[in-house]
Amino acid sequence: MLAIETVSLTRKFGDLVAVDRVNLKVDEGELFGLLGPNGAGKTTTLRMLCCLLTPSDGTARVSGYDIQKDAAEIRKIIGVCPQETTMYERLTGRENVELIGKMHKLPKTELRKRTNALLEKMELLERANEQVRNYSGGMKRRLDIIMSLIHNPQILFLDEPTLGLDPAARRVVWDFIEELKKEKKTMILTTHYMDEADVLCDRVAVIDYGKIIAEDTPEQLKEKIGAGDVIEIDFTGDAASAIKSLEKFKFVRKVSKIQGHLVIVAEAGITRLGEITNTLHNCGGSVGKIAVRQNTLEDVFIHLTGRRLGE
Amino acid sequence: MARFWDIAIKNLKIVVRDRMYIVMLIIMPIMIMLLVGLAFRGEATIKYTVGYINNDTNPLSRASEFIEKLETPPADWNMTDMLTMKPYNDVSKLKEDFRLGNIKGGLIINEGFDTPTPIKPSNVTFFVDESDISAAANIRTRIMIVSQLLFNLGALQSVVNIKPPDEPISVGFSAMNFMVIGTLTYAVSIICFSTALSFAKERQSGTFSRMRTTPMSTMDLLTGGLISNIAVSLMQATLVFGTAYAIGFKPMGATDMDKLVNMLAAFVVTAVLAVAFVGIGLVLAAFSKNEDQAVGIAWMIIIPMMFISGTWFEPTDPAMNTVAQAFPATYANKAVRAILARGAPLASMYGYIIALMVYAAIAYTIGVFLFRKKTA
Repeated sequence: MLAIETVSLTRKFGDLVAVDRVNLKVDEGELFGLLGPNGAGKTTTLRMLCCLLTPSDGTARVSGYDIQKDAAEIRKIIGVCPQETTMYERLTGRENVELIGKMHKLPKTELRKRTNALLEKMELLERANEQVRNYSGGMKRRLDIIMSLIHNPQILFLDEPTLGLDPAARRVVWDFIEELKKEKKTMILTTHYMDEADVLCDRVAVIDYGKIIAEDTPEQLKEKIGAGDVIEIDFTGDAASAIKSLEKFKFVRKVSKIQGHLVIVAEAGITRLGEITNTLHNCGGSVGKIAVRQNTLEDVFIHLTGRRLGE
Repeated sequence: MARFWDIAIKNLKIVVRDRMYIVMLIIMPIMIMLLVGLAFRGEATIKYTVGYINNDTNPLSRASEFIEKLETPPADWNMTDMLTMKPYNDVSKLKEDFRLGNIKGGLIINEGFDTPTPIKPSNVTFFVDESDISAAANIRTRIMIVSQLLFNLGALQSVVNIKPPDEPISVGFSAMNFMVIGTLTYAVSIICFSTALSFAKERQSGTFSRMRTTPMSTMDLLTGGLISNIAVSLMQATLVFGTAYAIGFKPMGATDMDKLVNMLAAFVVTAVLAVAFVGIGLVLAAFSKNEDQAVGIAWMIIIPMMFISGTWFEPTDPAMNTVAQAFPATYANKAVRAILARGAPLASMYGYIIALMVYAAIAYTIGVFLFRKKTA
């Protein structure tokens, strides 16, 4: 059985179509990523799947339950880690976790046991009896994840779980998600960090302006825009003419102009730098910094939309 | 344990740990209780100074007796000594002292005040500080009653037939009793504010959404909120009465059992009043876009309500008394004040108590309906 299935899922806010006929299928035990810039419709999609928002059109099923008819059943089997840390600041970390457990009617002893185990795993046990208002942002984020997992949900929704975290805190969260992945927990993760989606997700759907514009494994998505290197060149000059000239090379798969850079996807690009820079000089422009790297999911997004994720 | 109990316990923990809530819900009512209690304690000890000029030169005039009875009513009249009569010779000095606030009113006894014939009803000139509602009413009433009683005794000419009360009706009734009830109503009214704030905060901070991703229903959240607020209101009542008792508050009642029953009734009315305020708070939370708005709107309702509903003093304007019917505090003030401050039988207050219950039920139902609708 599919863990999640949406059919033409749509949500409008007045004239704005925040989510536009989204079709998704997520298998049990899969870590599925929704990748897109801020405002693309990721959180709105998630809120509909968590029964917090009613769709304007279309349907969705979570573990076979209809999100509009069976909200009570869905709430028993999901765990949600919202985008912004949401907890009772005047309660302790432990009290916040136990409150969610009590809402799920966990037996007292089991609740205490699971709370301790999760707090320990997330390195929060020592400060579990402190009020949350004294926690750092990273600690709150980790507590948020514990709160979403306390009842051992079948399906876990993680909305931008590493937003605003420093690299060390981010690594702790990533490691924990990897562990959950090994336990074959179904997870839906939204992010606008392409490296996060790249590293963690089994499959990724790229969403932009409410529409799914690509969906596959991170490797396949990158493969689709072509194997090879990505060359970023600071270029001042006639970009249109430069792009036209570069596209004539067979080894060049795609050229885009992003924020004053020329982004060139090229086979064995590192060996072709000379030809490329000569061509740009011949177009009458000047070449500044040059960077060569492997393609990423961000390049997929650029390829699909002509924009960076952050734009 | 039902979920709403867990929600209620969570709410109480937050209240106890948040200094702002503690100050608002506990410290402020106690402070006000202490202040007004100390300011008004004692049995009708309030005294007003009234200046007078006696222009009646007739040697048979009873004007002096009238002045004397105003200041010191005979014991069988069962009146407290409320007025201090201060003699003046000069009208301008009398008026000046009045303007300076040294006297609350002025009484000029005109020539021919007590001449047997012809009857001169307008033989006294009187003015009083109308801005002091209580003083104006008390002084005016006292002058009328004393003059009428003297007329009854044949000492003065009168067509009004009144008697002094058979029983001393004002013994035991003090301004402090009046203020204790007002303080309690004020304390409980803050529940309107804290409900609006806490639910708006839950919504704004996202905790409400988070809780809705669990099997908790909106009714669990609302019922938990109601229970914790009723608990807070009963705690407030205990503290307000306890503090008042320590500084001299004496609940009225014919017997000790009556006093106990009256106190329990006051607690019940307090709990019902809390339900009404939770309902109003929910309506405010439903319409507030954020915490700040909820706080602002709540105070905009609480403050006028305190003035109109007779919390600190009874409004004298009939129109305002009609407007006051829209506030639950009006019914609570009337019922609790009658039974605890004036010793009225509990049974005589059922009308107000039932009205308050109906009000609370309607306010809470509307509050729940609107909050659920706005957060669906």
